[in-house]
Amino acid sequence: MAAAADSSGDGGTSSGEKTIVLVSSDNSARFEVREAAALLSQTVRRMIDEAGADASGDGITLPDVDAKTLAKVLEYCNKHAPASSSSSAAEAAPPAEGEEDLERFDREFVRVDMGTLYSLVTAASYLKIEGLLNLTCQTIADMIKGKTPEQIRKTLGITSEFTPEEEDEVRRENAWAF
Amino acid sequence: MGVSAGAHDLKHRRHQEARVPDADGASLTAMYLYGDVLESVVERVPAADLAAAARVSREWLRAVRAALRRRPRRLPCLVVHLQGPRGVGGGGGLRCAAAYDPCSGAWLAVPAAPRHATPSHVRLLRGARGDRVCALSLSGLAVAAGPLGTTAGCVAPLDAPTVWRVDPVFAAVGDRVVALGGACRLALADGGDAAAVEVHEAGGGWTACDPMPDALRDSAAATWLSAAATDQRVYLVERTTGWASWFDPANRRWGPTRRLGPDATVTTWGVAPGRVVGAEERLVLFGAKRADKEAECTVVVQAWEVDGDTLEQTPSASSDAMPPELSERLFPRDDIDDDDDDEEELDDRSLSIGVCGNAAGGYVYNAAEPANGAVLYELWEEGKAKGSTTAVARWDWVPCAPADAAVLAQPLGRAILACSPVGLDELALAVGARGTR
Repeated sequence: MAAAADSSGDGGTSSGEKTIVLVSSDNSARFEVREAAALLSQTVRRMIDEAGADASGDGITLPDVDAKTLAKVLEYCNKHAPASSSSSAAEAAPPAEGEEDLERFDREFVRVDMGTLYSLVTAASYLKIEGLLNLTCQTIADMIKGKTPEQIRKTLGITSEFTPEEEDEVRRENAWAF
Repeated sequence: MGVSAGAHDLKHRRHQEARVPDADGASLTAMYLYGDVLESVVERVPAADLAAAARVSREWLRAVRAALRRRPRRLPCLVVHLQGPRGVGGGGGLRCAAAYDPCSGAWLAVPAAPRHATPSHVRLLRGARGDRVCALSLSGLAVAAGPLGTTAGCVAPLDAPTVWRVDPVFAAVGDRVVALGGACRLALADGGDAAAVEVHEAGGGWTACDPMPDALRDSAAATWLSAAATDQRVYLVERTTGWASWFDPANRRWGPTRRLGPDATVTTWGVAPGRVVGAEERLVLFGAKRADKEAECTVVVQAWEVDGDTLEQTPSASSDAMPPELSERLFPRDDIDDDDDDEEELDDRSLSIGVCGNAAGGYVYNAAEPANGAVLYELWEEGKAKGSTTAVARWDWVPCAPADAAVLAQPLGRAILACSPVGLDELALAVGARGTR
């Protein structure tokens, strides 16, 4: 696989490391990233596998991710990418940065408005980036901790269409649904 | 030519295109937080909040149901009921509870119930559907309705058993409650039997049945017997000798009495319900013994699968040992640096394990020092034990909740360890009450 992609014209950095070009949904932005960072996404990994020898220098278009979100996602990937760029080691190799450093980065990373957070969680789900999905979902889950249904609705701006009878039924179901 | 997305992962995208983009906060959530994405979020919501999450909206209910289906909560919770000494907090004994949720790996503290509403001294009642606490007095036997002992009402209180008991084994089998042994010898009427057994039928009173078999008669009290309740029987195993029998309250008869002893060097036994294979009930028998002096860890804990009917070890199963690093934590080695005299003392100190569980799994703990923590064991699910000869699929560590350690550290601090599935609603109620204080 590595050999096939080499001849496709994907640019290389001066250090000779392989890079991959990712294009946002509206075609407005092209990002060149290290292969190790891009391969954190299972979706990108699969796309590359499927493209095989047909991959050209045009890069990979991600129809569900707009430019602003893609930039933020790649910021995460670049930080969390393993030091080694070999694709087989990408899963097993530890990231280049220290753990405490990464934790601090993660905490700051999710200090964004709800709109951005939602875009990130959707992008992480689509791109199948496990670390980012964990981080964003956990952030939203933490917002719900200890709240009543009414408080959750208020925090997240959800309207409930439950009728009182439906609510009672759910309450009863919860009693045995363990 | 660039590569574009395949046909997968479009469930979310299709919906997104149908909605009108709106910067307003309300529809922002509606735009993004549903389907796969919402399920991913709900999976990470702690168990105590799932009941509230399910009532937010229809989409959230769907997501909670999907999350529960994907990772069904098979294993029961470990519930610790603590009783502190009198004088703590001024007044009667302090009673509170804590529950360990194995799916999220977290302890939840249940606030102390108002002292006037619930009894301060409770006992354990084993049940196939979950252990409960109960309070026995001259006027009656009150059983808590829920596993955490917090639900305001009790199951309608039963009359007290006809024989006054100080340390009985209580078990709930189906709709019946069984009281075994523990009778107060001083208060026995002429001809009364300390090993007396009574069954309470639903809606009826207590009926006397055949007393315990001779082998168990001398140890007919909860202190000496390890009990397990299934949907049909109560199994009793004497903790030090391994003599065992079972009682069927529906037919009011005792089963065979056997001395369980797959390993003669085991000094303490505990029993819990095991898998149900087809129509057969099985038990899991746990035994602990001191290891050889040269061995790495001091105590070895093993598990055997035993057939419920005959009380014989199932022929296909081999014994399963708890990983040494876990038994080391349950029974920590005291520091015996170089004092040779202490070596003899080591053997004299007796071991005591406690077990509670149900057909999915349960917990093993050090009965003398419950504050050390516990070990969770998970049994193979029916149909999944392909080729495996052991009963236990997985062992895991359960740390002691910090609050428990504080209560137990006090003199006369007492803990009852029970095991029961805890409904989402009850978890939420228990934790929620804490928030309103």
